[in-house]
Amino acid sequence: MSLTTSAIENAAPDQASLKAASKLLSPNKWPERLISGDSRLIWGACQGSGANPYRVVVDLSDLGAKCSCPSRKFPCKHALALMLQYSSAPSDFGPGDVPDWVTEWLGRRRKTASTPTASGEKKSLAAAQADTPEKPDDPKTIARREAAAAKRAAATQKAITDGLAEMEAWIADQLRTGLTELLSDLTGRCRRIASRLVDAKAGSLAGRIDGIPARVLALPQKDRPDALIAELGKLVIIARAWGNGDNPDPALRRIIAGAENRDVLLEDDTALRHKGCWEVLASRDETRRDGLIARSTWLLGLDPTGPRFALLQDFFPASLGKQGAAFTAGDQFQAELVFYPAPVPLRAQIVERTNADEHRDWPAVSADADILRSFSDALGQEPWLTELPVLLPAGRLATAKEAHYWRGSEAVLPLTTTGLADPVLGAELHQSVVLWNGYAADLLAADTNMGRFHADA
Amino acid sequence: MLDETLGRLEAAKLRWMMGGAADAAEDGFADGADATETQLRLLAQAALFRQTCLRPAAPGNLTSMPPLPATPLPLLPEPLRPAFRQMMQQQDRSIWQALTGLMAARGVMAHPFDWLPPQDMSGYPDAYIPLAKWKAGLGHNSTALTADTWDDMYPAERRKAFADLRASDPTAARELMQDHGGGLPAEDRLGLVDGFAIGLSMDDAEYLAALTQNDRSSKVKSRAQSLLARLGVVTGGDDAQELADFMEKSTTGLIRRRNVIKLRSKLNEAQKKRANSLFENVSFAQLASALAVTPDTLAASYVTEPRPMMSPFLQMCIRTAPDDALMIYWDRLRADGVAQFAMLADMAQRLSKDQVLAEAQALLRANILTDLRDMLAVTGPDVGPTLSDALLAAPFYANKLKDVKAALAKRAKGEGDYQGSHTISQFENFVTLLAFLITASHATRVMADLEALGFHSADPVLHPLKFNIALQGPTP
Repeated sequence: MSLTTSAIENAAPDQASLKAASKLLSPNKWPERLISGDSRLIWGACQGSGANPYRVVVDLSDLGAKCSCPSRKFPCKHALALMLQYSSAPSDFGPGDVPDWVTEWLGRRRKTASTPTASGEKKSLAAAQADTPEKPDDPKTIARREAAAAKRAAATQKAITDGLAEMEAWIADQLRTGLTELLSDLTGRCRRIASRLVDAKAGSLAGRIDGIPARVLALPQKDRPDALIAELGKLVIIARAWGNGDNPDPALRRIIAGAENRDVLLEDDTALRHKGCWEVLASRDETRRDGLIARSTWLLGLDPTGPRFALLQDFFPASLGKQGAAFTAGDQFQAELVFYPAPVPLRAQIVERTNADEHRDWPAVSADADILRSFSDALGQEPWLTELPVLLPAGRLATAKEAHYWRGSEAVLPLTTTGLADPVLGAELHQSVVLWNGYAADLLAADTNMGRFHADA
Repeated sequence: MLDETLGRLEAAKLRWMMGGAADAAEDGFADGADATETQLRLLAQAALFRQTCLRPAAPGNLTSMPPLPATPLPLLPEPLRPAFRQMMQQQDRSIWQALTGLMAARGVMAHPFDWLPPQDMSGYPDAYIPLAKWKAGLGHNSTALTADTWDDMYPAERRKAFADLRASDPTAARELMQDHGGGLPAEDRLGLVDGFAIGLSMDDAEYLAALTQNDRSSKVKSRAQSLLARLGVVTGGDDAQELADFMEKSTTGLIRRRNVIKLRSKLNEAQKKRANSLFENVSFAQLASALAVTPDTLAASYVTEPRPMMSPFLQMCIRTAPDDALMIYWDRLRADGVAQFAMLADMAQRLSKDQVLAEAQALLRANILTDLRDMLAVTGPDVGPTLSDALLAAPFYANKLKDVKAALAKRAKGEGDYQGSHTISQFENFVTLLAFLITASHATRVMADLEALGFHSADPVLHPLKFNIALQGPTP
């Protein structure tokens, strides 16, 4: 099925979308471009600015499209870019089995049978692709801009330093007035100090403090005082590690003020890069008080060497509604990941991704008697960590007073996971991956005698 | 050292929980720091101490489920599990039974992480019995039914083993039932009494008669009565005579005279209601006796028109008529174009699997089918190539394609209406049921037909067909 440029121009909602799409034509941004056996559907994954790639599908029969990006334009720039690539080089699209997310879309689409209506605006691909050379700045402008940036950075550093001092004082107040009282109004008090930190340009740390009530109150009553002490103590560590902010560790700056963007990360020569095979363990969405949804996708490295885990993290406004997931639990793929610089590299971005050649087994777990050693070691390097994935050896799930536990030969871990079905409780777990928070574990996935178990599936 | 630190931090924790001023020296920081500073330092230390130096303790009453049992069939291949879960989202027991039945016929079973059988296993493949037992907390694996294994067996397992024993040694099965059946719940007893239909003989009459007198369940009594009736054992007769009195015998046909037995035409509503209830209590042999005809004559003479009361008569036949008489009446129903799949579904309990399939094929050829659910209830899933051929050759199939094609065409033109949407939505159900019935090669043919209608090969409507084809395994 052929596709003409004029058809794509007609389908574009506006000239700006065409222009944006024309900047997404580099094959590097498209780890996956496939076409169905009957040549009617094309789909792919586009690596946008987020950690998770966007999933895009186009029905060539009527140019209906779907993308997992949050854009309200239809079709979005990713769908237009996919069309443009197909129109110029259809042979670049390999044959593929239509994935479940595409068939789900087809099913919904057939029921609603919506087709895009072109706007009256005249749109031109040639104009979109024409280079508009930017006027070079004169040295004075550059100097002025750099001075302004330095001034802003200094102001931010001072604001954060002042904010952290205020946070320390707040913590000391809580100790003085009693943590029992704090627990009785945890959400309100955390909200107030978090607001102060937002004003102090420590938005990321504010988000972390906003999350304290959820993390602490999810635990059994008996564990809450210790968990609250751990949360507050780690805030003190963060404030002390920052000092006056003259030379903060990048990982520390990230948890206080936010992560560097993708382009900065890709240009960072010190960032760890690793090519290997990865399995998607789980994808979790957390709605934050600031109106954003944080999507965390946990990956397990299947190679004998290299990082064992990776975390792809994205944020999008909750007002956009539920966004399609980029991955399905259990997916395996080959990818080069770049890790945000940190003593314990975990958070990462995908540089390049291809399909896995074959289904791989999980890596063997080292026979360490202390199954939580990796968490202790990580705390030694990043004492502000709140959670870390841990690969556990053979074990079973067990129950006591309706609470679930992972039980190995040497240790028992309480689970936060609830509602586990009986068959999982009856399975022999060859290996399991849990998210350990220092008190309890969230079971993400397990390799069992009955096959793979994914908590998200 | 560890204990000392723990003790110090526990004391601090108590103080922090309560609030109040602290003494810096007590907390072990004697470098001149003020009280607030020492508290913050101690808090930072406490944050890491528990998470690095201590490990969770196991609660005393920790219990694990018994390990999952080995499954008698291989589990559904991993790539097909999402499609299975998708289809099982329909909260419809008959769909679950058909789907698991199709899978069992193709030699696989559902992954226990995706689905476990319900406690009442009737209608589900026997392959799930070990999982049902495990779910019920029963651990033994029994194979043959004996006095020793009787109590260890799960109801569905015992029912199956009892049926097997009836087929090989009806006397041994009856004796086991006599000795142990009384202790079972009524529902389980009923299932086992049904098993007496296998190898039913006059040797069973005494025990069945005892059940009609002594069993605690009216359903069990009724079922035993039906079995006795099939053996020709006639008890009582007042009800049969009352029913016979509602009937009239006549002859019809100018050249070939034929006896006709039917309800009198001038019965009032109360009498019709009474006659209807009498059909439920009277046996075929009793009625024949009361009408002074042989069973075969009754079967050959009773009217086949639906009104009045063909259906109660047929139900009575199924329940109590001897095999020959039952088939005489059924053949007449079919010859007169009255037989339906729903009736054959009731008949199926008296027929062998081969007989059921042959009768279903005859109904298909007569273009009787109006709903695939009826056929599924009769034949079960995976009907084989012959019946699949008949199904796809039936006008019913062609008409369905024609209807949905028209609805799709109207919608493509922007003229879709409620009727069209309903047709398309019903078509999805039709394809699902069809996929449970036909062979993999026939599913491939249907896929081609639907793609020719305009359905995309990835359309979810085709999922069940793809599932069927994939169950066949890779093409050699």
